[in-house]
Amino acid sequence: MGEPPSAAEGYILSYHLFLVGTLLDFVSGFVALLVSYYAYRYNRLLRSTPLLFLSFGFMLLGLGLLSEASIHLFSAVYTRQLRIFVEASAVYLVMQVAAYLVIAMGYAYEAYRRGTLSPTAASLLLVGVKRPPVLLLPYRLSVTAELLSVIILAVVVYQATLVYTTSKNRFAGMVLTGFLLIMLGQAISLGGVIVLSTPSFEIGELTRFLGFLVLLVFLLRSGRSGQA
Amino acid sequence: MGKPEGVRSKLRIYLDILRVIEEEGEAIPTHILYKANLSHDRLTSYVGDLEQRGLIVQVTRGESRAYTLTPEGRKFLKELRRAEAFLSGFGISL
Repeated sequence: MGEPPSAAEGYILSYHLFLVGTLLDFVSGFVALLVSYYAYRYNRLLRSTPLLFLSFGFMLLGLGLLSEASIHLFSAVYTRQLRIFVEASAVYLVMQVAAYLVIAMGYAYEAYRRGTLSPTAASLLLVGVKRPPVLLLPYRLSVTAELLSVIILAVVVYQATLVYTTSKNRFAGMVLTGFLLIMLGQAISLGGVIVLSTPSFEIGELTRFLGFLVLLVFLLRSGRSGQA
Repeated sequence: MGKPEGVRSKLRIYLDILRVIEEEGEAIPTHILYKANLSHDRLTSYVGDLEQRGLIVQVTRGESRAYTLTPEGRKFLKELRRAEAFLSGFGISL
């Protein structure tokens, strides 16, 4: 088996695909920050630990997406240095894993509080962030980070499914659909990273973006619930 | 850890009281008591809280007293409803 390919070989994109991908990241990042803001705002009413986790997790996700998109755009237009491009992606991947872990911890905390999760399962989720794997090359970072993201998102989707099946609430359904699409997107991206397929990676990004769009619809509809 | 499912939080009780008052326009204490499912002592305590915060105001309805929402009360009720919808998406109760 040969040497793993470098990140440069793994992420060669056409200019237009790159712009579309960056735009999707900007919108997704904006949606994530909106979710974080509303979780923070309602936490001021409720003083709820799960809400704090959700707010912080979505903030990490949003900031990560916006930073990555901004740096990609800047480096593509001004510096044209692939190293900056790759490093921005690396930082984002780490933030992404941390963000999903914090969100999963928020769900686990609430599920444990309501008694729908066993103490063992909850404690496994609440143990804390694992030490990041030793990374030698960006390719390994990408694969590891994407794989961790998919696993953590699977836990989040499981929790969201429990919430939806218990409540049969349309808002819970929207959140479940959003997270499901984000997880699916991450899984497709993981496949794209492993086999170095740019189209698969882009399809994964698009699917993840659809997940954030569903979360935006959730925010708009729940916002309109203020009326009687 | 946490409260049992059947126990309502303070915010949930506020929401229930404010909803009743909004539905009726001007709600007498007895109606609030039954529709919000409260004991007399709790009703007195929570209604007093809401009045003190300027969210509801007492009005005279013939010989009896009733409560109606203030503009701040309507705003707060709207915010609680939005919060309830948002939180329900994540399985968190008010």
